[in-house]
Amino acid sequence: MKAGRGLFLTVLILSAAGPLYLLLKVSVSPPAEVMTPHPLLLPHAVTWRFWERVLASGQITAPLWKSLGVASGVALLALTFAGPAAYSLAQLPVRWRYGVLLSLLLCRMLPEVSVALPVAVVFLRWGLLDTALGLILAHLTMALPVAAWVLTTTFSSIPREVQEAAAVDGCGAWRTLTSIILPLALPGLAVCGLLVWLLSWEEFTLATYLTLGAKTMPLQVYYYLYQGNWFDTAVAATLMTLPVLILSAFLQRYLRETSLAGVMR
Amino acid sequence: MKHYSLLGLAPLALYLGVFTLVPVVSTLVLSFRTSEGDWGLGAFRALAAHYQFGEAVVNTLAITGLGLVIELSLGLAAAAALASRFRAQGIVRVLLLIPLGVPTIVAASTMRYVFGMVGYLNEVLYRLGILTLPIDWTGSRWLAVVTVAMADAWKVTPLVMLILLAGLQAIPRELYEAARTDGAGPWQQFWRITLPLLRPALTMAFIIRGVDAFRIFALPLALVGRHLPVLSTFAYVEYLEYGNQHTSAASSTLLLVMILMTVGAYLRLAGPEEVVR
Amino acid sequence: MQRCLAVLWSVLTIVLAVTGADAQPTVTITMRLAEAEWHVVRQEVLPRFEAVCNCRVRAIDVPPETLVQRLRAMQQAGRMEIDLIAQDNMRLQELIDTALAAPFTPEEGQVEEAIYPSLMAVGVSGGVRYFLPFRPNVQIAYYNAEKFAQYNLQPPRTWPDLLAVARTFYEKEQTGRVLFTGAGGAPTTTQLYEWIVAAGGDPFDFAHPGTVDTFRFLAALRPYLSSESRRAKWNTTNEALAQEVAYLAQNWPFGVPLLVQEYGKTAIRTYSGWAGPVREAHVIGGDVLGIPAGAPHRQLALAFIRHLQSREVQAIFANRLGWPSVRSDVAASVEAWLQPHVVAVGEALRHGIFRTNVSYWAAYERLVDEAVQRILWRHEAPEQVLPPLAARLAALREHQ
Repeated sequence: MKAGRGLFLTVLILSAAGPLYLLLKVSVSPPAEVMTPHPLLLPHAVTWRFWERVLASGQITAPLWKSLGVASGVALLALTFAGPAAYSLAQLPVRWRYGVLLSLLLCRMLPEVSVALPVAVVFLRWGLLDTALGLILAHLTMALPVAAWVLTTTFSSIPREVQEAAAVDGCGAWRTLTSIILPLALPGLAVCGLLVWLLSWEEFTLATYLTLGAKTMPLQVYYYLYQGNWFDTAVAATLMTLPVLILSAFLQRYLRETSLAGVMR
Repeated sequence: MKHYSLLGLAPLALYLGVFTLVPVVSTLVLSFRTSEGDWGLGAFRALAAHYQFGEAVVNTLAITGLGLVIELSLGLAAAAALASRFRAQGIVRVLLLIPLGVPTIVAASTMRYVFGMVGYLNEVLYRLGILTLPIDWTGSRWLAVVTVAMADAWKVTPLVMLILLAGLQAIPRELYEAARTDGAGPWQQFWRITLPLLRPALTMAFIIRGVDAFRIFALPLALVGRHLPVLSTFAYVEYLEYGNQHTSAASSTLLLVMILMTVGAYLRLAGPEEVVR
Repeated sequence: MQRCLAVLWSVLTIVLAVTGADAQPTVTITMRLAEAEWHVVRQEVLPRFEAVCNCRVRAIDVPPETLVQRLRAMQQAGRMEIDLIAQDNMRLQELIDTALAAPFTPEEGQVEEAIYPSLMAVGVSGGVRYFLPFRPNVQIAYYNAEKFAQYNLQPPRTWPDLLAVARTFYEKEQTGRVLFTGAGGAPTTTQLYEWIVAAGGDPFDFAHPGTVDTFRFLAALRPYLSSESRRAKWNTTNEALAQEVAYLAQNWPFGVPLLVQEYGKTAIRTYSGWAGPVREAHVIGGDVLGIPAGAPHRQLALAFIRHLQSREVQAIFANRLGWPSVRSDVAASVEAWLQPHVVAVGEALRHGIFRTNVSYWAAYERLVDEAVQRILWRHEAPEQVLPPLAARLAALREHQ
């Protein structure tokens, strides 16, 4: 039984990590290893030629910074604005709570194309083409419902007794919030922040409408996918995945299922 | 406290109200008009006559259905394997979560390297002696459906696994012990204890995944192109390449209806109290 | 709390700094190029211009389909932000009809003698010039010489030859090795256009016998085509050739430096292609240069046009990218390894045809997509698919 499980988990790990390994491998392989009817699975030779070329092309730094800035801005603003709202929502009776949350999710039930255009038109009229601010505001329309959902479940999982006990001890509403509620909600806040950051980092359709010259990373990868060659695409895609892996490594301890159990319930 | 609650909600509600209502209303309105400006079902009739629309609907349903089956069963199996403690549990969990963080566009390009004619999957199967000729994974329609469903499941199963793992760990151990002393085998334990108590987590996983699965967009486009239309790519091509706002909006409306019906049906079957909990 | 605010402020500052624009005078140009082509343009062509013009050039990649929408949006907003456009020579009519392209005066429309006069025919409407030549382009046929030699085959020169070669490869290797650009959109329409003309048909009339013959030939060819044809566009074709998924394919010459130099596939050779039942025909594509109405830096844009047409820059394009040149005095300076391919391109240009510029090209592409999809990939009979499409196409022509 144990051996069976071990084998199963090994296969899962290989399937999960394998494609990313292949992506990395393609980005550093000499063409002869890949452009052949039988590509090699293990790296025999390593070339940094494509990495140098993509990094030196000047096409990567600007999108990278722009996406980083926008994603971080979206995560921070979503937490700031959805936080208090979620706290209030968590106090509402259950049916109300789910009614509001489900209606917020209505937008997620439409294809990206339908949602992106009306939203983008609003920001384009305000003259926000090619700006990070416009993109942040547009991404917030997607991020806030998700943040509201996650944070509401987080806050509603904090037992009422804790809050009431703090009130009895003479803490004002603000102190209750900062010294009692926030630490308990921290795992949920971290998960929420990560999810929203990811959402903005990989968002593509709104970025297409709201940028002309100053692309974001997903647009740049898409560009390489359709107009670049096989190898430059791999480099750009790897570059886009690295910050995610780094961020997840930092927030790793909050992704334990015990903390998630609180969020998910 | 009451005033604070309302104050906290107001700006968020206003911002979201505008940006949620506007797309939904605009899509609905567009889908019930035609390019001549009259109201009616003209756009929907044009959809029915379109040679690729029926295919897009069936493809969407097939990919979503197959994807959900794979994700829920594999996610459950993985969660079960991870549920009990063992030494490398922490690192195994981290490794299994990797695909979750991979951006969709990166996943789409990665899958091209895997499922291409000269892709690594074909290469592995060739080395194992299973294949002599490479398989075109996105060649025929149904094989492409399976491939796209698998590629999507790769990215999303970790999320399902996480949700189900949380649900599994919430089940008290004593229940299993009691069942074992009563003489119940592992299968019976699964049916009688695990599944029923896992229903809230399964519902959450189904809703979260179901809504997104219907909208699948980047993967079919990057892996197969226009030959495997799904509702999202259909709406996209209709609007951006052919300039048909109305048929695009009509297909989006149909997608919305499909999602609402599916979620509604599931909730009715699983019972509303699951959502409430 | 203080720390929270500090963090918040620093993040917002970073965000705003990222959006900061610099205030140098910039010429904005749009083109649609592959990444390898952009690399050369950015590294070698733009710096040379920036050195002499005392300005900065901002180059943006815009696909031909969306260029019209973008220009129109700017026109309606009363703010044209683009100074120079390089547009597919097939999508010009829309720009002229909607007054998005500004006319050139007769003096501005004068070009150097070395530029081929035949290329000056494109871009003129009603006696007024709206576009100037930039890069002519023509598809050539790539083939894998080793594989052809292995089965004792010659590169096909006629349609029957093509069918025979496709069938031989299929029988020997149990899989198709000849590629047809079947992904849809502009690549497929361009390919089909020249095949139809080669069969004596009218690309804008699906009822014409020559056109019907072309589709019938495609249906006959279908069983022996590489299944990669479903995804074949201008960049995936190169990959298919490099990975030896296909041994014969048509594509623009920009694949030559990529395949031969970058990927080291010296077995891949080129020739002008094959003739249809009536003639050999190859579409002359490529881009032409225009200045949008209301462009803020018109004089700089004109200077940039001269720069792009200059001998030095055209030689760069020819040697680094394998582009056919607008000038007759560039061929001699092409490097040795590129010479055979230049010969193939020249031969293809001899049989060159221009696509007729129509304002309904986008809708036309849609009909071609449907025809190719249904005949090639759904195995429907041309006799059933074409008549209703012919009717719709005829309606488009009337509305024009």
